[in-house]
Formats: sequence, C-alpha cells, structure tokens
Amino acid sequence: MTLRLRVQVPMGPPAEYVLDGEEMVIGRAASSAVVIADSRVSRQHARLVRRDNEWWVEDLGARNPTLLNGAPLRHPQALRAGDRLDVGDAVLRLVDGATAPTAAGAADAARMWTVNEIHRALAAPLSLAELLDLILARCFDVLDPEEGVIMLRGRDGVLAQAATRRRGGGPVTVPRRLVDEVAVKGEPALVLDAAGDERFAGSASMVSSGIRGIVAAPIVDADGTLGLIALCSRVAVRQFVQSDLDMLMTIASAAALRVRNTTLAEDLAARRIVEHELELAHDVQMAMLPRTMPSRPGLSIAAMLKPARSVGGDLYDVVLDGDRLWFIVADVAGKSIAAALYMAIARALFRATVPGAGGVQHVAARMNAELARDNDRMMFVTAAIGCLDLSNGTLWLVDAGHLPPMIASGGAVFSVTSVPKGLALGVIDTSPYEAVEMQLDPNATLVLCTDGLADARNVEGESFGDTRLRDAIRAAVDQPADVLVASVMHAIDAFAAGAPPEDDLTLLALRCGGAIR
Amino acid sequence: MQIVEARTGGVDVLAPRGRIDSTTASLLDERLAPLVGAERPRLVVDFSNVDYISSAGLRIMLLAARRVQEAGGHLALCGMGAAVRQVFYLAGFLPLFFICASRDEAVTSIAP
Repeated sequence: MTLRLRVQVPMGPPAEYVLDGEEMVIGRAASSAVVIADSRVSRQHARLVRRDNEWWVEDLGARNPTLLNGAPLRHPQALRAGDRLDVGDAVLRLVDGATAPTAAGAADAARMWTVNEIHRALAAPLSLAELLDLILARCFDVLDPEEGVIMLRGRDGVLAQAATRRRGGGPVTVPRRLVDEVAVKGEPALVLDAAGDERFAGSASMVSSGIRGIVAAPIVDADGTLGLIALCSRVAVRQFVQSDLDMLMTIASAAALRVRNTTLAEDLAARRIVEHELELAHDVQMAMLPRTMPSRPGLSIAAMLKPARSVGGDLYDVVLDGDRLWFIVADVAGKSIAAALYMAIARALFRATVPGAGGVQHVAARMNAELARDNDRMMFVTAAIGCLDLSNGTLWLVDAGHLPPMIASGGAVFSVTSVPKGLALGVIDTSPYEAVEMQLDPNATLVLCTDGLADARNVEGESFGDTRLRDAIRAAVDQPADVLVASVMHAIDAFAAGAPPEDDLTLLALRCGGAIR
Repeated sequence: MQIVEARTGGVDVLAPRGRIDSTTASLLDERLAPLVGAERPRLVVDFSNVDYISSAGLRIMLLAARRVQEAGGHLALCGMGAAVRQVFYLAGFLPLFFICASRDEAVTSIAP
C-alpha cells in the first residue's frame, strides 16, 4: 500500500513525503528523512518502518511522546490512510496515493483549478466587469502579485483599464512600456526583474513605477489585440515563473472570446441607436428642404441634395417674395450632426433675412454676423446666394466663399467670375460682401452646386472634375431644370460606379424663359 | 494621411501628406493641438505633399490660426499646390493666412 505523509508545522509551509524505502526517521536531526525543526521534537523522534508491505510507526523514546490518532504510541502500530500523528507541535497526516505533489506540483494544481473556475465563470451570467474582477481576484489567490490590471481597447481604439486590483487597495498605474510591449505588440511578458530586462530596462515609465516582477499576457483573438492582463510585483522576491505565464495566457485566450462577443453585442446595440438617430436627423434635415418649388409661367427651377452620410452639411433653399426669387446653395464645413445643426441655423437665418431684404449682399452680411457670433468651434458655411427679379430677369449674386455660379447657354458652360470673392459665412462677423448685378438671358440656365460634385471620386480615386461636370450640364442644357439636375446627378453616379460618396452633393438649376418678360 | 513633424530654428513645422478630408482632418487637429497650445507658438504648416484639402480641413486650419493668434504666436503656411490654393481661395481664406512659397521662407519669416 502506498501512503503519503502530509506534514504541517505551526506557522510554516506544508510539506509532503512519499513513504519510500524500508525505513524513514522523523526527527529534529538534519539526517532525518522527515525533518521537523521544532524544539519539542527529539533528534530522532519516531520511525516509520515497512513490514510485509505495510507501514508501521514506532516511537523512538521521544521526550514528548508521539501520538497516534490522539493516543500516546506505546508500541509499534500499523498505519493506514487517514491516520494522524502528533510529533511535537507538528501534525502529520497519512494520505493515500503514490504521487506526492512537490511544492511546484501543488502550485500547478492551484493554477489548473483557477483556470477551471474562470472557464466556469465565462459561462455564468456575469457582466463583463464582474467577470474581469473575478479573473483578477482568482489570479491574486494563486499568484499573489501586488497589483493586477486588465486593460481593454475601447470603442475609440484606446486602451483603458477595465479592472484593477491592488493589495491594500488604491489605483493601479500601468507603465506605458508594458502596455506597448504586451497590448500593442501582442507579446507576452515574463519579467523577473524589470531593471535587468532588455525589453523594459531603460523605460522611464517602468523605472518610475517601481515595478520589478511582471507576468503579462495579451488578450488576443483572430481579429487582433483586444487588451492585456498583467500582474506586477514591486518586490524582487515575488518572481513569476513560466507556468504563471502559461496560466495567464490560458485565461487571456478564454477571456478574449467573451470580451469580443460582449463588444460586438454592445457595438450592435449602440450602432442601432446611432443609426436610428441618424435616420431621424436625416428625415428632419430633408424636411427642411423645400418640398415644392415656386411656380411661375416660364420659370423652371429644380434642386437636389444627396447627403454623403445620413446627415450632411449641404443646404439649398428657395424663397419667392413678390417678384423676387431668392435662392441659396451652401456647404457647412465637415459632415456630422454638428454640421447639420449649423446648416439648420443657416437655413433659418436665410429664411428670416430674405423677406424685404435690400439685396443679396445684405442677406449674406446678416447671416454672417449671426453665424460668427460665439462661434468657438470655427464652423463656417460657404454659400452662393442669389436673387432673380422674375419681372425683368435681373440677377444679383453674392459669393460667400463658395464655388462661382455657372451659366449654361447654348453650347457653352462658364463660371460667373465677375462675382467678388467674399469670405465664408461665420468666420469674421464684420466681413464685407459685395454683389454683382447682371441679366439672366431667357435661354440661359443658372447652375449652382457644391464642391461635392466635382470632387466625387470613383473607386480608382479619380475625381469627376470640372470638365466632366460642365460636359454633363451641357448635355442637358435644353432640358427642363429638373431633368438637367437629375441627369447631372446620374452622370456622377455612373462615374463613381459604386464608390461611396465622400461629400454631400447639391445642385440647383434655374431658368426663366421669355414668356413672363 | 501621414504627418511629419520637425523643429527648426525655434519654429515647429508640420507637414501633412496626402488628403485632408472630413475623415483625416481630426488627425491634423490632434497633431496641431499641442503645438498651437504652446506659449507663443511659432508654427509652419507645409502643404507641399497635400493633394487635397476639404472644408473640414480648412476649419482645422482656421481653429489653429485663431489659437495661435490668441496665444500671441505666429502661423505661416507654405508649399501650397494649385489644388490646395484653390480651396483656400474659394472659401475666401487666402487673406486670413500668412502664406509663403517655400518652407525656408516661412520659417525665416516667423523665426524668433
């Protein structure tokens, strides 16, 4: 029968022995097979002897007699698993089994148990935060570091602490070098003394942290590095070993799947909310555009806005005030909710300013003064603003940092370069604007657009460009305004050939035939 | 878009490369922020390797110009190709910036 002897001394680590050979002496003497350094133990205290394949225990006349299961041992007795011997203050238990785990073996068992427990926890209905806390707590039980941290990449791609644990409490600082090495490069780290390690010595963040021992594993899945788990020690005494790292790697790979799944689920939920809000914002923005165009005999006017994202920074509007037809095509810097809001303000200002305005330059100046007020974020709007007197064809145009208007007439499409260049709206509140006055020929079409048209690119990265834009306008110049607008937009779609639009596209075309003159 | 940063003669030089559009403008903003936030910043932005700048990029330059002005510093732009210059021109921005032909000229002009 094989037996093991588990020795527990007061205030000391437990030890285990396999009962081996023919005889084992228990005593204080260093020559003893089982040494118990206790003043109440005799040099040769007791003896274990094998007889007929059984182990017997015999007291060797110790000053403090050996106890077997609480009773003084007066003569040799056979031992079996479960027996207890008292030798001085030490308690010796006999247990079954041949394989005595060494100290390292016991630690391995503890590591296996920890990994198993964490695997079970992965399946449990814990939140990610609870799971990460549990992982750190279990790692502390087994590896006894001074501090531990789990960092995960946030939605913005930045690594942030997701769980921390520190002996005695308090915040945990993770040296930048450790983050770079493990979470960025994806390399595990097993460092006995950071001061002498080629990856970490010479790192100021490492030195100032005072960290000496490190065991750290990247949290990785097939798509890349999600974060890291690191346990650190500031005393050189606590040195981590390869099997500590092995355990951490196992835990990290198990956690990676859960982290990725959680992130995907949260992303999906967040994206649904954002998409829903963007849809609403898009609807609100589109509702601001004029649904119907003013109708007058001989007047042909049409416009189209194609937002690049759900909400955009482009704007057009048309207001008929008596015989005067006011119109604007504008582009807010950037494409975002902020740009869309700024666009909504610009449009409200245009509507508020136009009725009874003395001229397009006054409309631009008043819009500019309002948009420039408290404009800390330096948003701005480029705008082409015009006014056509339908009774006589007089056209006024002002340029607030926008593309020059184009006039298509017969076979020619040209930019109206006579409009004085003014600054985009919202930049400097006192910026002056100057209008140009001209006659719009009854056979000519005025075309206003945003830079999204010429800048539209195909999958090869080639821009649509001014020449193609003018060709597209020229090709439809004899058509009613709505057909011209649709066919130019179609030409851009065909050119882009499926490449996603990077900018809003806005186009307004206006013609005033001779009938009303 | 890549951004190369250099310091010469007491002047910070930032040289973006590629397209500055609504996606990459925030990168430029991030790199400009610490430079324009310095005490009396002296900054050159070199557009020699910029193919395109959108209105979002213009806004970032406008923000930088304002910060530099508030801090009592100096900002110079240089190396603008025809395409980039046209975008500045169209928005009416050319008069708002101190623009030099070459980097040397820009650095010399605002060096302490």
